[in-house]
Amino acid sequence: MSWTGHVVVALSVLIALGLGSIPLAEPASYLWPDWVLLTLAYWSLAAPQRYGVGVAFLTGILQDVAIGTLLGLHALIYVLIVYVLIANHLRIRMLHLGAQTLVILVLALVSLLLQLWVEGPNQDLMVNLWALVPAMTTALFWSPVFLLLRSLRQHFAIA
Amino acid sequence: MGFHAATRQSRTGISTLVLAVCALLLMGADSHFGWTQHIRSALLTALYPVQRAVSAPVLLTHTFGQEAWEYFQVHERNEDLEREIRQLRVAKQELEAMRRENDRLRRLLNEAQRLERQVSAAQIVAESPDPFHHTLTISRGERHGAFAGQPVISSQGAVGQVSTIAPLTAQIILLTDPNSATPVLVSSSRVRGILAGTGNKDLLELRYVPTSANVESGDQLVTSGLGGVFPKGLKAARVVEVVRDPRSPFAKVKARPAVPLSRLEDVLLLEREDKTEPGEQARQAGRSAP
Repeated sequence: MSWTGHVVVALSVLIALGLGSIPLAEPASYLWPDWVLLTLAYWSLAAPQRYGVGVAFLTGILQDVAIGTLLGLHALIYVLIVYVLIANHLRIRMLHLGAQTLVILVLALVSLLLQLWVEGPNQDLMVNLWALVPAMTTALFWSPVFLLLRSLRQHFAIA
Repeated sequence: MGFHAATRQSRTGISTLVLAVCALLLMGADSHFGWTQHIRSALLTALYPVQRAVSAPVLLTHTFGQEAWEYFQVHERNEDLEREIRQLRVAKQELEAMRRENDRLRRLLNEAQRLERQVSAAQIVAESPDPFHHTLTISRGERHGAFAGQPVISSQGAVGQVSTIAPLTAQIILLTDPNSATPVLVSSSRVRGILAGTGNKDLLELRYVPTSANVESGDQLVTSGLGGVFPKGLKAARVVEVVRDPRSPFAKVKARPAVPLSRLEDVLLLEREDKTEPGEQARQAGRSAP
């Protein structure tokens, strides 16, 4: 496993980072899910011993750089989310996809609220219901991302 | 198992705590100090190939979509553009006309300012077709304060005077009308004469100039202010021909009007200046502005 596994995980995270910073038109950017969150959530659930809060921290820094938020903001968010996931990974793994989607929804909402809380005062960010729409799409994309990454994991026999 | 799980759990908790504190410190540093900018730019450079690679298919499909769309739209677009060109051409012509009018009005205004008298502008709305009665109808009448005998000028000089007055329009009689006679003087030699119309729109006659008088072709004729109609010193005509017949006491002097009377569009009406005689007006106007 060792090498190819790490490479596949790194590539998936990098692609998620790239997807997150694609320039989009206004309506689409409201619906664009947090791909990095989904990818990190999957790998931390699948291999919590290997890909934990350290990976989340580094990825978060990269995400902050990629989308231009305060350096460390996404690092903090992802570290906290991945910690919650790892602490409960045995329980969450047992849930079916629908229930997992709800968990992801809650975590994505926490992520957005943290972002709004930190950036709201800085950049005239309107706290309205629209700002929470990405949490829904992030949750909705959990199943396809989960299935895709699971097939990758099984194919490359990671963890 | 239980023990292992507990230690792993606590290790994760500790590293989470450390990393969260790190993240918070980094956020503080990023918002208050400049050095995080270097980290940012280095990481951004590293991320660039990834972003480029991921967004390439998106941008590519976007570009292709755009190209295809444009290909199908090109005909319609062409029509639209041609319609727009036609509209713009029309608009351009209108603008050109407006520019010319603007120039003309500006020249008129300059003349009005030079005279330092109250003026009102009027447009020519009709012209007499009779070759022996050179009259124009202008767009100002009694309601606008026009009065019979009011001098009419243009940017180049004297035009004529108001002859008939109606409530909304007025008729002006041009210098070239056979019935028109204007007292003038030769601007260089101050010889006086009467500028009379001939019935030809390009020709005037200077009458009652002695054969011996100093008048040459090319001399400028200006209004003398004696008739009480025009102020003194307005350009009226330029001498084109002088014929001296020894048997006649007067020279035959032909002159061309200073204003191209057949190509007039706008004129200025000089308003009355009360309590001063017309000759005085022009001189006073030079000293004290109204």
